[in-house]
Amino acid sequence: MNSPNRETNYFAKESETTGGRDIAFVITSDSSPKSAWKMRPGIDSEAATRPIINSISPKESNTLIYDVAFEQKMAHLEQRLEKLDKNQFVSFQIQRLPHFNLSVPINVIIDSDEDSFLATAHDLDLFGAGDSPVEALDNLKTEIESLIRDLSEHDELSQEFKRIKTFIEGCLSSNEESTL
Amino acid sequence: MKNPRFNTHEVKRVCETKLGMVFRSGAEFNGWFRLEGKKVARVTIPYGRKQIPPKTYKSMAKQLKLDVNEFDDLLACPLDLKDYQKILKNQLTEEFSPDNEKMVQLREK
Repeated sequence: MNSPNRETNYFAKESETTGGRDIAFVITSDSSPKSAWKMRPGIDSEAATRPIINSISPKESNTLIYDVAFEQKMAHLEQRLEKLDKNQFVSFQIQRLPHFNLSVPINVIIDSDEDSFLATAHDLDLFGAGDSPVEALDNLKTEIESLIRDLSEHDELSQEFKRIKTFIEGCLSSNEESTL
Repeated sequence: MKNPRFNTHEVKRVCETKLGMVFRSGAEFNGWFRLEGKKVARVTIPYGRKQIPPKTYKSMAKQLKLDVNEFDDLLACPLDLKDYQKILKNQLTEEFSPDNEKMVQLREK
């Protein structure tokens, strides 16, 4: 980042009109500013190229000085952030189900899946899908409850599902063990 | 993987017609597959997804104890109920070989 001087092409100040959430970028080809761009932190790249102020005096700015390639760097950074978001996963623990209390939490991985999200409980071989992480998690919780009810039926189970049943019994609060 | 060709309705229909699974609706569709009377696989089919995203598709295959290519084959036709039963029996050898079945019964007693 360049130090403040008159030759610097870009400088910016936090926008006073938007409560400090947006940043106004002021471009100057010489010492006098020409126009400014509004930009939301994060992903609103379209807004970054939209002029909102046509003239700002350098004296009015808060003199946060950026180098010439700042806008390009920001665009690149945004692309990387978007990619990072899509490849991220979050590990989480379900502490409580809508109709059952858990004494031992159930581990969950929440992962993006193209435009949707997938919450997976690997210990139970269950997943919930949704358009948001919260929806995926809610669907997974419902799935777990549905499995608990299924396993409480007195059907013959494979060894794997017997293990899962034992695992869930261990997770449920003692006052709800009789459910299975 | 050919999964963009398949949507949730197709997967449900194939599981019902080929594997004889009966689905119950809740937050999602759930169905059990029984092998020789035992519940051995439980699959979840999400509602309203026109095309199943890859990770969801893989999770569904895993629930059926298939890899993605086998799941493709199940949906695209070559894999029928007998093939599926054979795959499951190979995977669950310990449980479904005649000798070990007796051992399991003895252990459970």
